[in-house]
Amino acid sequence: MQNESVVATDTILKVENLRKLFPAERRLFGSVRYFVHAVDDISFEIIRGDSLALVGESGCGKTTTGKILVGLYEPTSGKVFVEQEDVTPLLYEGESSARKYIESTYLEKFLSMSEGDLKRIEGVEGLYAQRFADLGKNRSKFIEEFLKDRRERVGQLRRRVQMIFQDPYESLNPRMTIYDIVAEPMNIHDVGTIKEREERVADILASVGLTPPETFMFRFPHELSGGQRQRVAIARALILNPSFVVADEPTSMLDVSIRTGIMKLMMKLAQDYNMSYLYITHDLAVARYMSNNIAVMYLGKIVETGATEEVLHHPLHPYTKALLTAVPIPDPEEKRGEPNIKGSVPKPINPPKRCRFYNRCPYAVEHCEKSDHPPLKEVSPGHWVACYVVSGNAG
Amino acid sequence: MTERSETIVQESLWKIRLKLWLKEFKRNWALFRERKIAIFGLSVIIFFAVFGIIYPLYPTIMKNVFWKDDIISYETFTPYDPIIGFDPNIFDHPSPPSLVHPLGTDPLGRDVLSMVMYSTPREFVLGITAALITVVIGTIIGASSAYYGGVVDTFFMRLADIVMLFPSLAILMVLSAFIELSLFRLALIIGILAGFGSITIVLKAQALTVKVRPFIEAAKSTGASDAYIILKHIIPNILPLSFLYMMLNVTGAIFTEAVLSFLGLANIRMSWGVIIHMAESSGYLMGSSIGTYWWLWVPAGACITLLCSAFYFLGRGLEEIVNPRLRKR
Amino acid sequence: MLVLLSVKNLKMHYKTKMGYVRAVDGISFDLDSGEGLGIVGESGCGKTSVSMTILRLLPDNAEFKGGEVLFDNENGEPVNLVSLAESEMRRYRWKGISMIFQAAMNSLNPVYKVGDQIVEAIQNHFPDTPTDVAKKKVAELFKLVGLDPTRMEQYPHQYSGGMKQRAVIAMALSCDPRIIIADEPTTALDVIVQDRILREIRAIQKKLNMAMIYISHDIAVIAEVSDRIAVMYAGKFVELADSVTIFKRPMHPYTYGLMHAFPSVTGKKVDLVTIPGEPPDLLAPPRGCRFYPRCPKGDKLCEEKDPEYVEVDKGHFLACHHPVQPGEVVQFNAE
Repeated sequence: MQNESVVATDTILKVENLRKLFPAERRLFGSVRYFVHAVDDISFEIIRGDSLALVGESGCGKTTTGKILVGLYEPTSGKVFVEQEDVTPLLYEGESSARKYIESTYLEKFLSMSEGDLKRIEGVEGLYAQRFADLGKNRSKFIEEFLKDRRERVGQLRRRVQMIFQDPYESLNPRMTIYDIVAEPMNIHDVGTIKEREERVADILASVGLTPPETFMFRFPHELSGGQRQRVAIARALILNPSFVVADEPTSMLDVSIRTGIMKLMMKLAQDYNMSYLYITHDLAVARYMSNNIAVMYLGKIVETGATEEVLHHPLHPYTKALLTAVPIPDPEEKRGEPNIKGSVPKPINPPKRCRFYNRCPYAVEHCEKSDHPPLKEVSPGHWVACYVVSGNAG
Repeated sequence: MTERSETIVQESLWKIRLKLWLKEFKRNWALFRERKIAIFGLSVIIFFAVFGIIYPLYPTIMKNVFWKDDIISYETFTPYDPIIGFDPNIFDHPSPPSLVHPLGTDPLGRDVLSMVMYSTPREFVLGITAALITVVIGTIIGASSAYYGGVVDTFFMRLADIVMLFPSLAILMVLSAFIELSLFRLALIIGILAGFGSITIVLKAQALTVKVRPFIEAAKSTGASDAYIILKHIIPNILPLSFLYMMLNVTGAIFTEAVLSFLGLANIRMSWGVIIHMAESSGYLMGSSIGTYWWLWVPAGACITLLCSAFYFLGRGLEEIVNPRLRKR
Repeated sequence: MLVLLSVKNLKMHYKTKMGYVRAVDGISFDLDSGEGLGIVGESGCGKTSVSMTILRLLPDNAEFKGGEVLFDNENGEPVNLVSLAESEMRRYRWKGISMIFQAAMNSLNPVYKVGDQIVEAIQNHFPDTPTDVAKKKVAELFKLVGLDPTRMEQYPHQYSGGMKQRAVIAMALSCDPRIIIADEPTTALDVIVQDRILREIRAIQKKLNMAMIYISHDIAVIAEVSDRIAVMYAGKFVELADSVTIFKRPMHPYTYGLMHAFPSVTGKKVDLVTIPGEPPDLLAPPRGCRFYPRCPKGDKLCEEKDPEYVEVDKGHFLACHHPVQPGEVVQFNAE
């Protein structure tokens, strides 16, 4: 991982300190006091050609993260970069929220700096700082430029980041034909003539294995099997050539013998289309096959991250260890031990500042309770853990 | 990439579309056919439609059969005109059914069958126009309410409550004093009034079930605008229910018009309600007269009942197609 | 070892407008007391239908088409459950054999206290039981499944998913059944909770020496809880053997394919098998072997003749014309 806001040129996605809070109560008057900390200050990066698996149990925030990236939820705070561009203002629905973001993230800092200082800032933030300097430190002009053509740019962002949903039975509109469903992204973004669309749909249906495409194009979803429907969902996600696809448990509702077909298809398509995945799943075994990097989430935080094989074979965080121990092994002769973890997942409402895992952790010491939630530290090359005990900082 | 001939793809795409649509239609038709009530409803509606369409033939036939020798009388008095007709050959109007007048004549000497037939297409127009307006308004409001929630939703739901509280008939009666309630205007007003009422609540509830389905999220994540989602995703999925409600609203509209005409508050020259109104205001519905002068109210009344029930049954028959879960295995 | 349940050539078809769906088409197996039998198969293979048929909990359009379900009723006399009248069947349902349904957590009635629901189950089957006796029993059951007995007075919405599942297990145990059929009992649960429930189920089974039929599509889970495993495909068992054999020396190509289609977190990362095609339509299954269209070893014989289900080795049943040889690598050609 790199320094803040320095985004490497081959990075497709970079998430910085992302937070999403949901109000946990309804109030007519006064401000809400209780929040569900669904996503609580997470950061990660995906480089072109790589994939990242986001794993964790239900409620850990992985699905929420994915939804923020495709624009279904607004972030509460934090930054999202897609291919060198700060797209966070595009994730807000209202322009005023976008403005507030620009103000608090850039302007507050930039306004107090001299032109010379501004030009010395590195990375993507540097690019913006430079622009600000070039505009003569004019606040309104900067905001205007940042928000220019917002509508269009939101549309373009949607084309670059797509999502494959979990439920093949419900993520397709039952009243639309397969052609309509797969061509919809082209329809929404007004791409191509009718003939071009038909050809593109036929092409992409063929590449997801639905051949001959003509026999599928005008059928309805209920006429297809679960595996076939999921292929349609993949086709839909890929038709506009996104840089990046968020896959939310795409195989968990499919039969075992179908699952591997879909998994292999997705991996092949990632290669063919030069695309990366953010693969969200609770199934560690599937994560192992679908991605070369993994991030383990717990209660809205990333507790361990690194190369998949490394993390799965040398887990360091006690939660990761417990998860791995709990996975049933498809081999009756191999016995596994009991996961070293107690209690159950607490509700992520106004969590205390200490380590989120404290009350279930077999390693917990006093330091863990007294300090804030541990930051991620690189314990071995490329392998990061958020744990005081493991990283040797337990006071 | 696979190899395929471009021409094959191009031409057969349209054919495939049509073939599949036909297959779906045939399947729904088979389902529909199974319910006797639905067939009954549809038959009655078709009967009335034909009934209304062949209306112009009726006077021509009667003229050639019964008035061949008396063309001058025919031309002067136009006995089969539903509004200004008069049969001079009969002494006492209203006259009971006879060969010349299969359903008799009314107090003004007009042929009753003529009046009933003439009114039929008008009843259709009224019913369907009103129902169409109601459904269009109700669908848009219901879908938007469900999708946006918040203030929009609260506003329309409270509006619906108010509309339901007010007796629409009473409103119409009051309105009749200020506005001339001609057929089209009446259809419009009934349609609009009903459109903001309970139909919005029902369709909103249905739209809510659609809104939470993942394909809506999928469309949003692809970049669809709110209007696009409402129009292309939510409304098509509640349309079957809307259609069903449309059938039921036709019933309501026809009946409302009949009541208003009966009370003499509508400004419609001829309809089934007007026929009964004429009978009532001429005093033929009092006491024992109601039995003696049955042809003054039974035909019109029967038509109202039959057509209203027919649309209702048609609606019930469509239920299974609309709601696949009701289908028997 | 006492044979508790003996199912012989059980057949049950669903009648639909389009014909008969042959959901259970000749199922045979024996179940010993204290044994764990796993039935593994994919969606639509009929595994849930088998349990519903044994317990006679079928919908109106289900037609019984033959076979026997012999249950040992402790008098030494096996009784054929299929031939019983409904009123007689009630004596065995829940008391002899009980069931944990799929998505069982949804089968708790939200408006009644959890404890009361189990008391009701007890009193339905043992009508003379006074309520306080029943309540004591429920408290014991709660302790057995790892629930705090004070929670008897709570409502289902106050329970977490794992707790609801335990409550349902308690309910299934409430009438001291000799066999429990568990249909996907841990599907909706997180992996750590699943681990606990599985351990508990196994412990309870050992402690009460109860027989269990465990139905799932998850091979890993089945591996952990079963002594013997039956692989079901398109309404029939294709193979039945002890767990180790099924995993290490499967003889049916479908079993082989399934075992190699499961990703694992441990060990080396191996290439996964994809079985091409789809399961057959049970309305009109192929006349030969039902797996033939997807089987890389299939030939004309398989296409014409449905293989018989025979005992090829002690305790190892198989229905296949060309079984997988020891050490053979079967190549499934997927796209």
